[in-house]
Amino acid sequence: MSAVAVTGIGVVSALGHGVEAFWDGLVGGRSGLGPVARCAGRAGQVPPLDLRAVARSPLSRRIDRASLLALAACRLALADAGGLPAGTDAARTGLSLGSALGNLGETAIFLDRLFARGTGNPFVFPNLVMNAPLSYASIELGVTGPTAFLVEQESSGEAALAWGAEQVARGAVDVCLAGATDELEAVLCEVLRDAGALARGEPRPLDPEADGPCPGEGAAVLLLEPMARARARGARVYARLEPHPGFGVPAPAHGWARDPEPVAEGLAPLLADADVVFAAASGRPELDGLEGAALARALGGRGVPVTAVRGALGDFGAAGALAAAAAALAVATGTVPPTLGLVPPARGGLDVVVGAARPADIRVAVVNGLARGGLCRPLRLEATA
Amino acid sequence: MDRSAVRAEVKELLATGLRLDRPASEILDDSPIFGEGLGLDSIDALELVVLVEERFRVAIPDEDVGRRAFATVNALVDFIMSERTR
Amino acid sequence: MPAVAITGLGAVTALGGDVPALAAGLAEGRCGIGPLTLFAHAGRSTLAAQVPEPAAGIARALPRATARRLSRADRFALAAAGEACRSAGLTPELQRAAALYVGATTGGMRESEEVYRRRRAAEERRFRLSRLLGTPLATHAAVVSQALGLFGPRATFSTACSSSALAIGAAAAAVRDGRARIALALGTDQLCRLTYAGFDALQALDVEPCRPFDRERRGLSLGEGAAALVLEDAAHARARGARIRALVLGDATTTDAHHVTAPHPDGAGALRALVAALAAAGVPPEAVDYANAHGSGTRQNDAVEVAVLRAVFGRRLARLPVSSTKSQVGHCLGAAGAVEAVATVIALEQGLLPPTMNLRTPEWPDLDFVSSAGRRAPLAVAVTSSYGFGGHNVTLVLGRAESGR
Repeated sequence: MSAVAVTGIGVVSALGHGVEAFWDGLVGGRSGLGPVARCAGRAGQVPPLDLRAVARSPLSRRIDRASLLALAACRLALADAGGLPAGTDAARTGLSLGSALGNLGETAIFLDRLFARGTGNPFVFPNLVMNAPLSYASIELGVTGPTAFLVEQESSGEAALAWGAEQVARGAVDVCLAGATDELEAVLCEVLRDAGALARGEPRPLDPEADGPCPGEGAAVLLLEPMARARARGARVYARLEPHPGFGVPAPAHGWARDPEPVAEGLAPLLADADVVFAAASGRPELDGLEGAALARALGGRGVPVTAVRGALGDFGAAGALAAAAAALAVATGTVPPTLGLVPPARGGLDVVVGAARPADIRVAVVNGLARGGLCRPLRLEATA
Repeated sequence: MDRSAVRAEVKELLATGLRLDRPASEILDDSPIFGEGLGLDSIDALELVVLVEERFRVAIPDEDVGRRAFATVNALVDFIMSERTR
Repeated sequence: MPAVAITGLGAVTALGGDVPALAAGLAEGRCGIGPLTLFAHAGRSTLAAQVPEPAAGIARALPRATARRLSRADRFALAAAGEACRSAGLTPELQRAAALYVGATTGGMRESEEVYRRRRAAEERRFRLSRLLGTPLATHAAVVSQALGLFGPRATFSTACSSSALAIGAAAAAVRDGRARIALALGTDQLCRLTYAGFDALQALDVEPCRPFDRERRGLSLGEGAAALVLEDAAHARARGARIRALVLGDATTTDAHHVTAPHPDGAGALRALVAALAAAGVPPEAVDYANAHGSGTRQNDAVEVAVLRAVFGRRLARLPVSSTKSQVGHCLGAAGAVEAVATVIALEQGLLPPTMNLRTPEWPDLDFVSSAGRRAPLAVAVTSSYGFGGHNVTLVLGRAESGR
């Protein structure tokens, strides 16, 4: 199994398009959240994209938003890496994308017509398969190797990155684009608002006073390749990505685990040499409480800096892919971005970076993916220099 | 509805209903709707049937009728005008 | 690649609520496609391969908070997973460390579309989140993990019709790589108004029961159900005295990169998947005894699939039995890959060829589509392929247990 290098990063988020806007925004402590009409509240919305610049093939005019975000992130990752390595065979190129909820907007449009008139919408239906982003991206980029679409609730990003990294490590592909996408959608906001599941103001990850997350959207894609090949061609390597198979803990299938101990036990070996943890926390009390307690136990009192990107980006299933992108950048630049919204002390007495970004010598960054139903999906990024 | 109004509506349907690249005003009356002209495929065809049937209250009973009706914008306008006078 | 043992099977299909019922249906040539009665549908087609409610089984182990939120697809999954783990003789300790890989496409959409309809029709004054928690596809894995006490690696794949074939590939890889000694692969799906109306709007449904490989074929028949396979390290299986049902010899996945619904007319991606899977299995085409096709019954798929089989098997194709289980259980979408893999294992175990039903006039009369049930043949190696909307192709190569690996 070969080591896996991250050689390109593409992000579209409420902080803007591209890795620079993303990282500058995070490090600068900027919030991407603002009033979004269709969500009747604060949310993180990706600024408008030039559809034709992203989705170039003729039939991609039918592309849906979640797929468009993913494709934009793929193109940005490729541009960031200076394109695919010379001589890359399309059949040896992989693509691994994930999403928690996929194309919600057009699902609603389809159902509206179905219930109003009794007929389906042939135009929109092909976009309703969860893997639509995978299909559009593979068509637009001409990827014919192994591809997969992962759906893992709040850890969809981590799951897709792990699958992609495994394909590279195993030698099934020479290069793989991996990441995740989720869109900000009116019906989802309506459902969450009706349930009282959203923050009344700003989200406050890892703050014991937090009352919920704010919704968001975005996509992040990483370009992954075997470390030896990346080095041989003199590519810029952000970090080494180690996939983790993930593990389960006792939990209600539709809710959050309540006992932090099994989470802590599973994470402890991974955190033993961690220099920073990118938390899954979003301001949602059940998640933040679980994670705060679990991290506190797993870190055993070691003062390891922690940060949570959902404070700046909003909460959405694919956010873990953006956290992974941030972790790779943290490793490459030796900087931990601050967590917005939290007024210390943080849950679990954790050392959460707030206010200004903190310089740090980061050899190992751990992205903590946690999802409902008791799923733990951490990722590990390591410095290579 | 007179012919020029129907023509304008048909172009609007094509442009927005099928998310075409170009604005309705740029669609030529004699453009082939499928193949080379507007680059539509079978999925667009199916949706177009639904949109036309609904908007103009006409019926497109089978593929043969559809193929003739959808040959060009003008052909479609002719079809709609003739169906509506029944 | 080293072979991976299959030590447990479970299935809930239109042919019955367990693997023996599926096996009997395959042997007798029963067709489970009949009238759609689950919900009202105003369209061209009126048929589906519906599955009756399965017995409660391991669902009884779930606390009420989970049990009352189960979708039908969850209940199918629980039934199949429960049967598979039981048939593999798994203990709670073995299950604790087992990995779980799921393939699905609709999830809890049947239940959710009804919630949406009621809200939009003002029959409800607000959305109730608690009634929508079963919508995300990842819920199946959470439900099955909770019922069986599975705490190992877990992932859910959704690549349309090849979802659970991909899940089987992931389970095999997990065992081969040593990430788990035991990995449960599961596919589940249920009929819902959204999917049915969508395929009907695309004119992809046959108004008669689907007729794969027939000259007059006109599309697919939708089905539903679940199937599960316990994959296991062969040495581990032997050491605990487990019965090895069959072997996963190899697998491969490729992509067409062509169109969101139509397969590539050349079938290049499907061809590469079949060739690569055979190569990974170390099996030459001549050694294949049976091909369980994707065989959806659409005009395009079947033509492309035959071309691919001809390209790989050449003149020998005339003597290679090829059949489509979708002609009996319908197209089970996310569950199709797993259902058809289980059918292929049954074929290998029993030396019994599953038939292609409803075949009146084969479009390719020189080929053997197993048009009648009950044919026996010694089968050592079989392939099963699944081709998903959007061009995602998976081929699995399965071998009889005594293939000596």
